Amino acid sequence: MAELAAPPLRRPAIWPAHLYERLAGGLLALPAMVLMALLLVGPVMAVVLMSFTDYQLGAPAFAWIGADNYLALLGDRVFWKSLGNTLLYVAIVVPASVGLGLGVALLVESRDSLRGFYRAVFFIPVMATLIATAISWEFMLHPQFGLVNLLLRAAGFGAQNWLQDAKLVLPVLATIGIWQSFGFNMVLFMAGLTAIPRHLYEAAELDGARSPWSRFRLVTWPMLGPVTLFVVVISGIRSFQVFDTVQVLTKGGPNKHSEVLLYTMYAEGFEFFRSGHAAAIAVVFLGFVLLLTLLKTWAIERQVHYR
Amino acid sequence: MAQVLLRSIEKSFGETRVLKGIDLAIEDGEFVSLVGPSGCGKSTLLRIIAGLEHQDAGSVTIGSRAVDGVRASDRNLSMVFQSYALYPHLTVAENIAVPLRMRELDMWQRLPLLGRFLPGAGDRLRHIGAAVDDAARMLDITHLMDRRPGQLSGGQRQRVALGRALVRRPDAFLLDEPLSNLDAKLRVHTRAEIAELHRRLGATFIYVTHDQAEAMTMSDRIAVMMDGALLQVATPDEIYNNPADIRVAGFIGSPQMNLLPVRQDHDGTVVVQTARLPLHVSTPQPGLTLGVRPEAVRVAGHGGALQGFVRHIENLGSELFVQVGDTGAADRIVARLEPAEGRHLCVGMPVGLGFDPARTILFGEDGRRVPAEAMTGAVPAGRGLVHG
Repeated sequence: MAELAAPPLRRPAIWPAHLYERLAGGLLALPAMVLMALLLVGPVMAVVLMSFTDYQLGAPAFAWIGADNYLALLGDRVFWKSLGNTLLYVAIVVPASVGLGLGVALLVESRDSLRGFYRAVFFIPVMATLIATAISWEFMLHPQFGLVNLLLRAAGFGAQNWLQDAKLVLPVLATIGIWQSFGFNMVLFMAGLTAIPRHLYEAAELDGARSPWSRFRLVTWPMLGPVTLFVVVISGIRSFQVFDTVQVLTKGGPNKHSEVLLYTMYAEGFEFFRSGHAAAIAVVFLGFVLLLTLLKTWAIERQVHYR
Repeated sequence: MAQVLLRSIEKSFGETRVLKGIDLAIEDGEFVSLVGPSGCGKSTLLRIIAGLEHQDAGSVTIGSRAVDGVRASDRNLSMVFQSYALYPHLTVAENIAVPLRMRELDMWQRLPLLGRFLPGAGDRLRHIGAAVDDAARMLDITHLMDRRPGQLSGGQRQRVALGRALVRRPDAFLLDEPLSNLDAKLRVHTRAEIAELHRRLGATFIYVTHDQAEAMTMSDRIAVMMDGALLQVATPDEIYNNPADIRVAGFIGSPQMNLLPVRQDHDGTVVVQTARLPLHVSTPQPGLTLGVRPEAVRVAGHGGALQGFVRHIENLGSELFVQVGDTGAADRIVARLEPAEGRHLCVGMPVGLGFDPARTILFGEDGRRVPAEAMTGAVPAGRGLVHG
């Protein structure tokens, strides 16, 4: 059969074989690399670089000021307030929207009837533009003639100034965030639930897992591991990005009680034109997002894919 | 250990009647195979016994207890699934321990980390650990205990699934095509092991398969199912040599039984093509079919009841299967020969075929057996070869 073997590929004699292959591979990957550099890595690098300058939006020149922007952040009361508020917001929204999404998904999947209807209804807030729904929320939460206070008064409770009360404003924003995002989590969980083999539940039944709770612990929860991890990380990143509702409803008020990272960055960059300062906040924000992503890939991914 | 009794089990999925009144008594300690082509309802029947599916009519009794309306987890049965259905997040040891943990520990004792410190948990955990070790030793998987199912081969997973089934002593073991995901060699090996396991445990085994070879090699009795009905329940020998129905004859045995249309002469003698066979059917019957196993067909140089040409020879080393065509019958007739007997044969050669009358079977128009008397007087003693 030796005469049937293909003749060796001809290549320019000046190139050693492995170098030639590398070059060809590199050339083939080049267009994608260029696009990634231009569209993904480039802007991030630009922001990082800008955070080391005193650049102001529209200014003709800038100077390198080293870590001054970051040092200024360290001493900035508003930044710390904003970071704390953001973390609190994330700490409320992530568990609640993940838990609610999982709970509703389990309820909807447990029955055959109206499954599509529930899925559509709970998904509407996800599809709707948040700016538009935020305006509806503003009407509903209006202290005098908002629907919420009208109902509370009718039921004999006291009315609240939802968006101007220092204690209430962040929980209210978090509630809107939960309302807006749990439908998305629900859809992801429903997809995860339908992917669990039925045989596992049957095996669990024969193995004596009698209660819904023991079936959940033995089969559903472990099998949802990869989905849950994904949902937690996505919810975390999305709630770190909270901006629309703050911009429409409170503008960070009252007295910075609803100031969040992205809003602070926006205000610094586009209202006070301190682009360098805003870039430093953006880098801090990116750091948190990166942290979540690393957490996903390194720490937990190995725990939820059972290999 | 217990007897399993099925009485007129009926089941329909929508318009389709999957089970049409199944009656079956499985003795304590017996190994019974439910065998039939896919879609015959055998898996549904097993799932009804398990309690995973509910019958529309009829009753299931396990031991002395009627279990209709009793949920699967209360029926004290173990099941091995075709897909093995192992818990992918648990190690082999934890997988095998699940049935015991679920039954012997309460909800709080099952809690991770904390549960083991609760009163009573320690003793029970030690007992569970010992039982798991026993099961693992019996199946020779002690070296795999810390792995997860994803790191195991198909055969190893199958053993873990068996281990999970036998770690506690259920009333009966239900096995749903447990070997169908294994390669051919491992399948042959494992079926011997399962049969040995059954002998060692002495427990009731109900085994679903579409593979007649598995059913033949492992079972005390075989229940052949087709189109939602039991055609015959008998020992492997009986099923092979005395099939009660033409569909049983066609399904059991490989290569399958030769089936030839025959007619009756005016005196009741059975005639194939033009050759009179030394077989006699007293009552006139239309549409008779003659069944002959390949090993009951004799190939002669010429003469014999039928003449044809060798069309193909399958040489399996220990035996030859000779396919003879152009005999006037629609299908080729297959004969099993010793390699020495068939050495002189080649494709295209004209041959004559004879049948051992004592080993032929007649089926009526409805597919059921028709009694026939062999007219031994017509045949030279000790030869059993029919020459027309």
